[in-house]
Amino acid sequence: MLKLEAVSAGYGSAQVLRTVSFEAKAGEILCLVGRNGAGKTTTMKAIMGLLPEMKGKVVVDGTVLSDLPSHKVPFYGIGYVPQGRRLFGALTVAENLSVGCLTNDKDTTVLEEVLRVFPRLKERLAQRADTLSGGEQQMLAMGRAMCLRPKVLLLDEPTEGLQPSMVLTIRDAADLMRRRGVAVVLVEQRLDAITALADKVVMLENGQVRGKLSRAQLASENDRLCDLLGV
Amino acid sequence: MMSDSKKDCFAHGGVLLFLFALQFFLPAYHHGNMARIMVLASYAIGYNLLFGYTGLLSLGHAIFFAAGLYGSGLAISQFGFSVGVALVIGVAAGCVLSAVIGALALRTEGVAFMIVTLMFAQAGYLTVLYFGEFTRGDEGFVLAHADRVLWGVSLSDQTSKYFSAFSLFCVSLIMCLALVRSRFGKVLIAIRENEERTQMLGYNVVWYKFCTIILSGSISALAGATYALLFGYVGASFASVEYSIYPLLWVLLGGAGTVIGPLVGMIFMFYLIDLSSGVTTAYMLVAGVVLVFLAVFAPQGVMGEVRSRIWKWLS
Repeated sequence: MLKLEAVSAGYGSAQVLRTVSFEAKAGEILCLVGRNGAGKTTTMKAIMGLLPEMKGKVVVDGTVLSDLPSHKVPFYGIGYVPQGRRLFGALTVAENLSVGCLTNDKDTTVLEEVLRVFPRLKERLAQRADTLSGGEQQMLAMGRAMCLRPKVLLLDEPTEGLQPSMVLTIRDAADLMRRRGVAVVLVEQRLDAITALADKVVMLENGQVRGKLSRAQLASENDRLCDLLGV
Repeated sequence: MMSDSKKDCFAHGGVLLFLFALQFFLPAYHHGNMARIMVLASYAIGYNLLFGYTGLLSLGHAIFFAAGLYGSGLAISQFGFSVGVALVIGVAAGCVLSAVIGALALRTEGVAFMIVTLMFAQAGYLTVLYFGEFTRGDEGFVLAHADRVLWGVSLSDQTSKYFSAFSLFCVSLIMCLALVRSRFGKVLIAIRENEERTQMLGYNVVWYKFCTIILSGSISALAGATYALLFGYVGASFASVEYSIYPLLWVLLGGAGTVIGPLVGMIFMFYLIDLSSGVTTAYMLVAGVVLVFLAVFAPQGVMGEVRSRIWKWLS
C-alpha cells in the first residue's frame, strides 16, 4: 500500500531524514515512534510532498508520489491529520468538512459516514471551528481527512493534549479505519496507545530507522520502546 | 425560524434597498458623494476579495483601478469609442494586467509579494507619466459631457450618475457575496487560514490565488472604468501609491473578510475627512487619531466586530 524507499529529506541545508524505509499495508496501523526531533513529523511531510528537497521514493499502490506536486497527493488516497489539528477556524464545521471533500465530491454518503463516526460533530455543524473544544477539533480534523475516503491515513499525534474520553474516541476512529482496510500511519508518544493499536512499530532516532517491531514483538521489546520514548 | 443563510441574504439585500432609496432623500451634495463612495467601495470590494478573503496583502492595487480608468478614458479620448465599448476595454485592460502581474507576483510570498505588487504599481504610475503625450501626465484629462452618453442617457446627470454607481455597487456586492458563499469562496478562506493545510486537501492553492487576483483586478478595473465615465476625470493620482493604500484602509476599517465592510469603511473614512476638514485644517490629524482608536478598540473593523459580537451569520 504505502512504501517509503530510502527517503532522505530535510529543511534547506539541515538534513532530518536519512534513508528511511518502511511499508504500511492495507488494514494495519503502523506506529512511528521516537523522541522529539527524531523525524516523525518530517516523515509525514515527506510522504505528503511538502519538503522541497527529497531523495528516495514514496510509493502508493505502484504510483510514485514523490514525483507529484503536493496538491496532487490527496488524489491518490492520502489523508493527513497534522499535529495541532490546523483547522480552518473561520469556517463552520460543515464548511470544513465540505472543503475536505474535494477529491470525493460526487460521493454524498461520505459526510453521513463521518458524522456517524463522530456524532458530536453533527450537533456542531453550524458552529465555527475555532470555537470547538480540543477534542472536537481533533474529531473534525480526522473527519475532514476521512472525507477523502483515504487508502492511507496519516495521523500525527492525534491524541496529544486530549482528555481520556476523547482519546478513546480518536483511537476508536483509527481502529475503525484499520478495519475498513485503510493503512494508518500513526505518530504516537503514548505507550498504552502504541500497545493497544499498533500492528507494526517503526522506531526512529536521529532521522534513521533504528528498528522495526511486529505486534508479537511489542511485549518482549517493551524496555527498548520505553527507552526510545523516554518513559 | 429563518435560516442563517436567508438572514445573510436579507441583510445584504436590505443594504442595497437602502442605498437605492437613499437617492430620493439625499441633498445634492451628499447625492454626489454617495455616487463616488459606491464606485470606490466597489474598488474596495475587489481589493477585499484578495486581502480579506484570500489573505494576500497587495500594495499595488491602484494599477488595476488605473488600468480601468485609463483603458476606458483613452478609448474615448484617443479613439472615440462609445461608452459601452470603453467600459469593456477598461475591464479587459485590468483583467489582462492582473493576469500578467498575478503570474509573476505569485512566485513570491508574504513581504516579497507586497513589495512586488508595490513595484508594479509604481511602474504603472511612471508609465502614465512617461506617456504624458496621451495621458497628460500629472494633470490628467477630462472627458467631455457629450462623450459620456450611454443609450441616450447622459452619465454626467446627477440621477443617472447615482443610478450607475448603484448598479456597479450591486454587481460588485452580489458577485462578491455569491463567491464567498460558494465552495470557491470557502477554499479562499481556507487558504487564508492555512495555506499548507488547504494544499494537503488537494487544492492547487496557486491556481486559486491566481484566479482571485484576476477577479479582484477585474472588479477594481470595472470600478476605475466606471469612475472615469461617471466623473469624467482621468488623472495620474489614481495610479499613485495612495490609491493602493486607500482600499486597504477602507477594508481594514470596515472589516476585512466581510462583504459589506468595504462600503462601511469607505463611508466612515470619507465623512470623517469631510466633516473634520470643515472644523479644522488639521483634519488629517483628527482622522489619524480616530483611526488609531478604532484600530485599538475594534481591531476586526466595524463589520468584523458586528459579526463576532452580534450577527455571527454575516458573510
